[in-house]
Amino acid sequence: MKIVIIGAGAVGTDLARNLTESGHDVVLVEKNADVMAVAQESLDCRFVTDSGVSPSALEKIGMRDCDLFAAVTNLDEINIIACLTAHQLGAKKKVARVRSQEYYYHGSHLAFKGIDIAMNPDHEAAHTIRETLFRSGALEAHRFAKGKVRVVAAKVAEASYVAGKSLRELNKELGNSIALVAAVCRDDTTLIPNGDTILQPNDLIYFTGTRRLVDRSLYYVSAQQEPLQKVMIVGANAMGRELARDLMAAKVKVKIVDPDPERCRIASESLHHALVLNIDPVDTSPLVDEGIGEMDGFVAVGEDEEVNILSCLLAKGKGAGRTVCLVNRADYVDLLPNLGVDVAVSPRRSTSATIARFVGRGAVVSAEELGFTGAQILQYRLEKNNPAVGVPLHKLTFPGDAVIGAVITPRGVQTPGGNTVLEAGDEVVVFALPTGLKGVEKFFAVGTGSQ
Amino acid sequence: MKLRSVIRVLGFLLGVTAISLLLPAIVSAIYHDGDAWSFLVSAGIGCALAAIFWWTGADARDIRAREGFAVVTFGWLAVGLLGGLPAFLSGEIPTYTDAAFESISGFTTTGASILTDIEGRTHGVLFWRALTHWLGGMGIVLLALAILPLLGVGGMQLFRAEVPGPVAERLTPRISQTAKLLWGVYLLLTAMEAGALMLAGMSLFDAVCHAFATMATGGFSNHNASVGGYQSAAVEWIIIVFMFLAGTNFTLHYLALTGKVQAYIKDDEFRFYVSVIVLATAVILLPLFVVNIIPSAHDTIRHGLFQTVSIMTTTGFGTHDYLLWPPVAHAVLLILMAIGGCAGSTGGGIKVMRLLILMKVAKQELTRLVHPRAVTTLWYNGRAVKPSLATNVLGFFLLFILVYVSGMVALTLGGRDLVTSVGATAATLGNIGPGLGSVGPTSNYAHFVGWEKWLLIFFMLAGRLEIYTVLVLFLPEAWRRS
Repeated sequence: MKIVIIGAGAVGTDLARNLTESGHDVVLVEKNADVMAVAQESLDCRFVTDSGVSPSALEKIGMRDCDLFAAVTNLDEINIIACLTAHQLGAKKKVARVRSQEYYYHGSHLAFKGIDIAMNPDHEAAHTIRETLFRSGALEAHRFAKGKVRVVAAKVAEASYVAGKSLRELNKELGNSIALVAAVCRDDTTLIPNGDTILQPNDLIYFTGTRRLVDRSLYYVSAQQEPLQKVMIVGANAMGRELARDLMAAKVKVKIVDPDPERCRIASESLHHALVLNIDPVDTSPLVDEGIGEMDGFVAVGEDEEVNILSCLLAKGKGAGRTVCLVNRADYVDLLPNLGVDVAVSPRRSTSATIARFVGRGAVVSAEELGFTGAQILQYRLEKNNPAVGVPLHKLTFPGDAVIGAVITPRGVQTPGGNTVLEAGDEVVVFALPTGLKGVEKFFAVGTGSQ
Repeated sequence: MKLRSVIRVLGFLLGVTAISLLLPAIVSAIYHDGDAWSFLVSAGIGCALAAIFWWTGADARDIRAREGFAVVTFGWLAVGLLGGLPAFLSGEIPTYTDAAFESISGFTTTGASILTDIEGRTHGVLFWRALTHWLGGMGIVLLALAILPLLGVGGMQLFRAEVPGPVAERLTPRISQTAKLLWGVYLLLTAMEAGALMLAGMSLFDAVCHAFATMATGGFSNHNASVGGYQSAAVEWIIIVFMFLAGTNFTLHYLALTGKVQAYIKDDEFRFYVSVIVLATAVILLPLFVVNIIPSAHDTIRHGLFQTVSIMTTTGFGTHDYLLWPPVAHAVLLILMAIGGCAGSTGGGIKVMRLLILMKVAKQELTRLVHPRAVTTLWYNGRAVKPSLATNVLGFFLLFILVYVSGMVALTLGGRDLVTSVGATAATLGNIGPGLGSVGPTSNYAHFVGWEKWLLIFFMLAGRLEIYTVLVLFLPEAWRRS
């Protein structure tokens, strides 16, 4: 498959690495020779040092046989124009990274016909942070099918109801009031559990189900349930402001901190009830005066990653509830949980991961990565001629290292059991370990004709 | 300043006033009160002045902010002075000072009267009094929602974007658009009130006069005992409702008429206006029920509410002598006199909107004490307000208090007692009418001497034209040729 990537920044190189490793034919286009030189050191793909919006340059690369065109530079306008140009020249699938909310039509779509997918990582990240903050005990949250299906990660607390019990026991005791446990992470390995799997303290488990079911299940998993009332946000940038707006809509008191007076002014003029503070987040004493330790939630989404990490550590040290840190550098993403910072969200990383997931999967509707596990959650629509249609699940030979977590039918969301029968048009949420991914792809690709 | 442009506009305003003088002439003729000639002569003098002004003036199509202040201030003064002529000529009001006081009190929708025997006046004079209110009210609506926002006076910029219409550098195109819409609302409400009052048993003449005086929040009545003279609960309730409406921002009425009734509830100022009225009525009613001056509960509530709404909206009608009420009522009413109606209504005073902004500024300062690093923004009606606007409002408040205090000092210097001086200054600066002490609801301003009356005339104009508009003309820079 031929893939053209415009922009060799953090997103572009990450994406290129992802795709070359899975054996695709990647062309990386970058205008700035110095930036390109850095990318060339570590990547094995074709490099073109030219403008990604230039029709003649794109023509030379060849757009007719281009299966995926991803414009992921820092500039929204460049990405949009590049995609539109590629569209004119005949590229098949076009993905643009567009961060500014003003280009979006009714929130999530672009008004341009030639762009298939618009990526807004900041928006996604703000959403994930919000979901994560609200679920006490939940470390990660994903939404599928417009929020009808939730996937939530939680750490099993020592004193919790489920600790030390096998899934079979839990099923017997709680019946339908516990959500399906789709994946368990223990000591750096992720496994798809079966009935004999025993949940142990400090396991990270992934639930799926409706919102109510997931909320109820969290009660059995976590020891305490603290309501979220006060949140401090470091960084009055677009993401910080969006997050503040979301939180205040849910009646949370928000304090927003930024070292830049101008950004503070903008935040103050766009957020009615938030308290905007012009404080440098590495300046400890004013933050303590503002009650950093009494916060139920602390989120650092500032421009400077090191400052984000430091302020999260400060908040943690002063006794704040859950801390969420925004980091882009892959090295930090793996480092943070060990430092005691609850969750790290990396919008650039998720951008490249999401785009990579659109490559070569026919019927996939949506896909997300599970935390740091490498496992993926995929949402598929069942086509009429798929062999799985009309057969009870226990008779199916579903690929190994994968499990169906939820079935979305026109009648509502079902937790799949052995006797569940899938119908054409149903959508399924599938958990797959990296080793199971190929099998799942093959299973659902049948009948779509794209493979 | 382009003085000749200003003069031409003044000529136009005098002409309009002269034409409107024909209306009381017709009324006089219908009622055969023998006064028609004085109105016709005044109209003639008005036309002559208008012609002279018009021809000495120069093209006024591109007057800007600086000329705007002069046009507004001198326009009100000139129209008021012309309006005093007929009653003086016919001898209904013996001195010109008194006649001018009555007329300017009318055009500024104050309602402060020097007449000791209102019922003995001719129909022509009574109708002209009411008409000066109504015409003044038309001017105020236009001033508050179209002209002052463009001139940037006292926080009125907030309304700059509220009324639909083309936005232009020049004052005229936008003003005429806005004027048509808002005068439509004004006319409609006046007609509704007049109709309702007639249904409640008033004569056509009295109904029209009272509707004029209510919608302009003026307060001239055709009875010595004001609205109380009708002894009708229905009339009083109707007037309470329309005083309340007249004290509301007319843009909200316009929006409601176009189907957006929820605009009332969404408006910060309107909500605050209603809560102040409810709170003030409660504070006034409690002691009233305790001392039991008024026998029935319904009457107590009605009188309490009537006086609260009448003073708050700066109308100044009366149904009961509040000077007989416990002192706390006087205190509350004195506060209400200063607050006044909503911005964009015909009411005077500081305006509810400004009070709201002042309170928000105060709260902001308190927040800054607790959070020294906080970056705060003032919010009004869901929008961020520029800091310069808050300063503008603070400045307005300061000037209002300054004029208020100097009025109080001046009147006491002349030998008036303190309560009367405070009451008279508040009642004229806030365009209410009745004050406290010897200018209470059952008394009038006849006993003031000449210079005091001219001082009060100045207060009426200054209060009506939002202080800034008048005081800016005392700056030499305002007069420099541009």
